[in-house]
Formats: sequence, structure tokens, C-alpha cells
Amino acid sequence: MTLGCSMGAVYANNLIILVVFWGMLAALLYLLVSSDGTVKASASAKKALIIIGGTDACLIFAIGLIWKMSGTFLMEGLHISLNSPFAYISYICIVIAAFAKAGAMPFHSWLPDVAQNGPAPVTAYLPASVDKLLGIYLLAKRLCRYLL
Amino acid sequence: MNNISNTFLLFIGALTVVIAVAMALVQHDFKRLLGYHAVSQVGYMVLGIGTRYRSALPADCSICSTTPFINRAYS
Repeated sequence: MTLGCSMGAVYANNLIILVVFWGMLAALLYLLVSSDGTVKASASAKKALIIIGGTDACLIFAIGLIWKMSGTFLMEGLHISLNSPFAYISYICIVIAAFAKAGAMPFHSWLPDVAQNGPAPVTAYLPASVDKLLGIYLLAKRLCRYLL
Repeated sequence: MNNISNTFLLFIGALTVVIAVAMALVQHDFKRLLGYHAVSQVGYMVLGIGTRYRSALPADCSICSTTPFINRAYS
């Protein structure tokens, strides 16, 4: 199910569908990490959910701004030039969401906690492979849409 | 303007690489150490994307399964 959600997020051509799969992955990360049952595991799962969920809000805000600027939710043919404050704000918000998902520096603090307290197979699967790739994917995709 | 956002990404990536590895040095729990190491790998990826060269992307992401994701990102 997790793999299905991540493939859905990758192959989604619509920004709304991307956000839906993105949020489902955050919920699945919470459930899988807290499936260990210990207090520490559920605490770090809660931390991961709060950080990723909060930056999901940034992603939704950025998608709203993109819709306001371009009038469409479709990713194909979407080109935004960085020349207005709206474009800058949406760019920053999407970069924040991608960083939190991938675990880059300002939003990395959930990753070591999950790695320490969560079950080892979940750590190997979700934050280390799927989430990291998804964050980098979103970053590359956004950069392509904004700058090329 | 594009240069500003690319420089921003490069700066964040470089900062992530250096600081995350420095934090991994002082960990005693090996799982936590691996977590910080994963953070620093993300820094390398962000650095590669910040250069904005297409050819830099698949070469920079060390995991082979990244390539279809990146191809999809540029389709």
C-alpha cells in the first residue's frame, strides 16, 4: 500500500492527487513507525507526523498559489517564471515540503528519531528509500517547472 | 533570479552535508548515526539538483532506482 501510494504520487499529473497521495504517505509513515508499540516509537512517529503534516500545509498553500497564478492544477505544460512575490512564496513552500519529506537540513530532526526508535525494517523502507526519493523527485520536478 | 534560487539550494545542500555529518560524528547509538548519515546524503542530492544540470542528476543520486523518478520529473 505504501509503495502504491508513492507510485501514485510520482505518476500523478494533477497537483491535487499528488497532495492526496503525499498526505497518505505521511499517515502511513506514522502508522508504520508507531506499530512497534513502545512509547519512544510512538513519540518519534508523532514528531514525524507533525513535521511532515505541517509542511504538507505549505505544499497545499503553494498549490493554491499556483492555481491562482496559472488557473490550472495540471502539471503538464505548467511553466511559472520567478518574477512575482506569489511565485517566490510558492517556490519556497514547495522546497520546504520537499526538504521535510526528504529529510534535508532545516527539517531533518524527525529522521534520526525515527531511525533510532522505530522498527528497523520500517526505517530501511520508508524514510531511507521511499520518502527520500519522493522529496528529491518533487524538488527536481518543481525546479524543472519553475526554471526551465 | 534563477541564480538566486539555485544558489539558495546549493547553500542549503552544502550546509546539510557538512552539519549532518558533523552531528553523526558525535552519536553513540548506531541507528541514530545512520539516520544522520541519511540526512547528509540528502544534502548531496540537493547539491546536485542545485547545479541545475540534467546530466548531474542521475550521476549524483547514488541509488539506481532514483533514475526512473528523475526521468519522470523531467518528462
